[in-house]
Amino acid sequence: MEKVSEYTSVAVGQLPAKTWNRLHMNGSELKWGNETLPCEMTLKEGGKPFDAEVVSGAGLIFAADGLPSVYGAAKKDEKKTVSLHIGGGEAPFTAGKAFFRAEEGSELTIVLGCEKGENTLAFHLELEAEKNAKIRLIQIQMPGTPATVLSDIHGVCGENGRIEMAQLLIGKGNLYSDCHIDLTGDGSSYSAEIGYLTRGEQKLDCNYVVNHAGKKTESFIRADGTLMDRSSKIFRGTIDFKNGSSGSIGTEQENVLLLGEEIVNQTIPLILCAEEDVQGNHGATIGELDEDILFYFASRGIEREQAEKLMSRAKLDRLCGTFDNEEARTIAERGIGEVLGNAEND
Amino acid sequence: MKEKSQVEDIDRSIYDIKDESKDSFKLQAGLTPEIVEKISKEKNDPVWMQNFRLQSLQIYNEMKVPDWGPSIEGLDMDNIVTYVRPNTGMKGKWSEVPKDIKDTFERLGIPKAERESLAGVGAQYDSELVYHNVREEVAAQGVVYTDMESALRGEYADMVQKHFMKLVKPNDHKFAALHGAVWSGGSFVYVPKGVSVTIPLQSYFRLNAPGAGQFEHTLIIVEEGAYLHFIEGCSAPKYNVANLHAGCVELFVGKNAKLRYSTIENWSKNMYNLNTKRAIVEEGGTIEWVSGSFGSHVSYLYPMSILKGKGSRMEFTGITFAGKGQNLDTGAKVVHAAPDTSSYMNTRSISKDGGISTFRSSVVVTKDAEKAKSSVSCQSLMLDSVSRSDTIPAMDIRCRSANVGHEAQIGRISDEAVFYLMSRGMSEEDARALIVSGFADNVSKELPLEYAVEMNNLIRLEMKGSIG
Repeated sequence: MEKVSEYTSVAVGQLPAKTWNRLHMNGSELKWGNETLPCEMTLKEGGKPFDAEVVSGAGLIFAADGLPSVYGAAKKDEKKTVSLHIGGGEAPFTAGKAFFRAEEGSELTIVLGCEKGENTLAFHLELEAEKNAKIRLIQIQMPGTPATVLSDIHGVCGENGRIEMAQLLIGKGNLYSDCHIDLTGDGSSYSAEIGYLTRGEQKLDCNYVVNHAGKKTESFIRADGTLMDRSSKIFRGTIDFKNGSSGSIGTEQENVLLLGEEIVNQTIPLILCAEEDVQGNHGATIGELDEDILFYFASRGIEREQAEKLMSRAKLDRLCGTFDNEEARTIAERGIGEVLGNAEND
Repeated sequence: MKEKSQVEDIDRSIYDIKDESKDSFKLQAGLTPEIVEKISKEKNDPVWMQNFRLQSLQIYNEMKVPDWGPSIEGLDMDNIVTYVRPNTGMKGKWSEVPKDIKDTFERLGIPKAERESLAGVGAQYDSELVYHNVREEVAAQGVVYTDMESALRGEYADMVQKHFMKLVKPNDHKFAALHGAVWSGGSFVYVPKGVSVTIPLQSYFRLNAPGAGQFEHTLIIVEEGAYLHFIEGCSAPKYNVANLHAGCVELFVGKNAKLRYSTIENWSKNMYNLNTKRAIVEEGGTIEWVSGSFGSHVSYLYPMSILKGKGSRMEFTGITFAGKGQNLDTGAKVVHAAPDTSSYMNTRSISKDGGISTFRSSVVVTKDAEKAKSSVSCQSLMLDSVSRSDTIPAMDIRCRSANVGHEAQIGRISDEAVFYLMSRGMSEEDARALIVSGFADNVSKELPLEYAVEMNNLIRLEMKGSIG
């Protein structure tokens, strides 16, 4: 990292295997101040955090002293839901850490809300699903303007462990989502359903890396979103089959609806494979609304702009329909109503 | 894990025959301004080319080696001989070519192919062409097919100067700059407006000298409404020292013209293949790439197409076979820079016995490329767990009306497919051979029959082996 006046450039969203440098897709740099203060973190459960190393490039941010650390866990065979709220606070650069563990056979649901704010915020989530345990993370990110938020997540799954993520990425500010999952236990699995909508000058930077290390592991990543106005988005998704991960399956799919005249969409889905007996698939579809669909709406008296909003909403509603938590659905529906209701005024 | 058949290495016996070196001139190894000046003097370059070479060398020295691809640490330019002239000039009849060189090309099937199915042939041996010929009836149509050196000095000198390394500029990357400094050999092709060359032209490149480099330049201009199919092939015997291939292909496809560029690459496994190919396509024009990569120790190969004119098109069909000791990084790039352009990539790769195959692609749609369409399909077959297969596709889309799709799959031979074929009376060995053969069909069906046979001989005959 280089020091540039009173800021440091922090490498985020780094691809495990680089491509041509001139495409500017190998990773991003987040400008971070030299003083990191605690962010606001409110967890309904408390406890002592466990040791975990930040594997992404943002380790420097989370090494600062005095950052809040919260901890939630589900005990053996227990089913539990916890709620975590993260806010940016007054200081220009704030950060915090949260640790969650699902012990053997348990199910832990985490509802994470991060709304509004005006400054730069980074938080690190460490997720550990032990043998036969499941962690479900429902995450709603709605940064305000001109906020920048870094969501840095690392997860590890033991034997037959599972991590599920449902992420709603909307709002007005810039958003970096950097997620690394290690499927170390045999039979472990990971799924991520990601919905996003960007507008104005908003920038969305996503990086999802799944390392298949154990045998018969499975991963599924689906990102479904809309770009409006002059916004930009990069989605990096990596399925990495390590040697020894025989019988594993990895699937990645991205669908992008382009609605803005000045949008920038970058998509780079990787499959890295050092094991013969695996199945890897990825697909991407990128474009505007099909003429047939527009005709269908027009024949029902719905004009193009309204049709585009309806379809954008439908993508997000599909994701929110999977939120099996009342609080999460309430936050999400409020957020979607705000962004789609005000999109044309930005 | 279930037992499976082994896939033998590609049979290289005809390609590995080494001719005794009888060069008439050979530069010392290394890369210095003095060496570049000597090459220029040997080739009797015009002044502008002399200066161009030296400027390219300067750019080469200033640029860094790429940090995103396979390692090329084993390539030391201080040990590479950049110019080797064989003991013959360029001939127009095979009977005039020295026997040992002629015999080499005979074994490779080049004269036979020319007699039976080609409109013209250029055969390069080390750094210079040894044979060049075009059928009279093709020349009578105004088609020009000649060696680059003649084109540089003859009636097409201005055209060549206007186009030479304007599409692939020396500052594009380090090995484009190297090419600009030490290029030698290659072909110039010009197809006039409205002319359809119905039978293919072919260039074949043979690198015989150990520790040498080949840096041929191919420049093709297909004018409005014209058609050409150009085939290139290459091979070299294997040595214990590194060889280098840093060729350059520049293709200019005119309005409503069509150019098909087919390559069967079968360099030896000591070869560093750092080749650059690029096409620019005008309104309504089409470029079709057909690419089979079977050789080299390390390859960096990504034919690129710039769809400059409205309605222009690109198709890329490729197969890569990475075996023991090979790290083949191949793919394609396309830039949609105009409305109604379309591109289609269909690639396959096979990795076995520790080979590393990387598919790398780039689809860029600029803001002006309204209603551009692009589809990329990549399938990879892993035949064991000591090999590697990576897929790194990138898309950068800046126009809302573009329609872009991408799909990729990686895996092993399906047990269900094998079972199905075996239930119809096939042995497991034959079943797997048939499946892998079918896997490579995307390329073989696009080639003229003789080349499909050659390519299939490189793969299919080796598919059968003992059940391992």
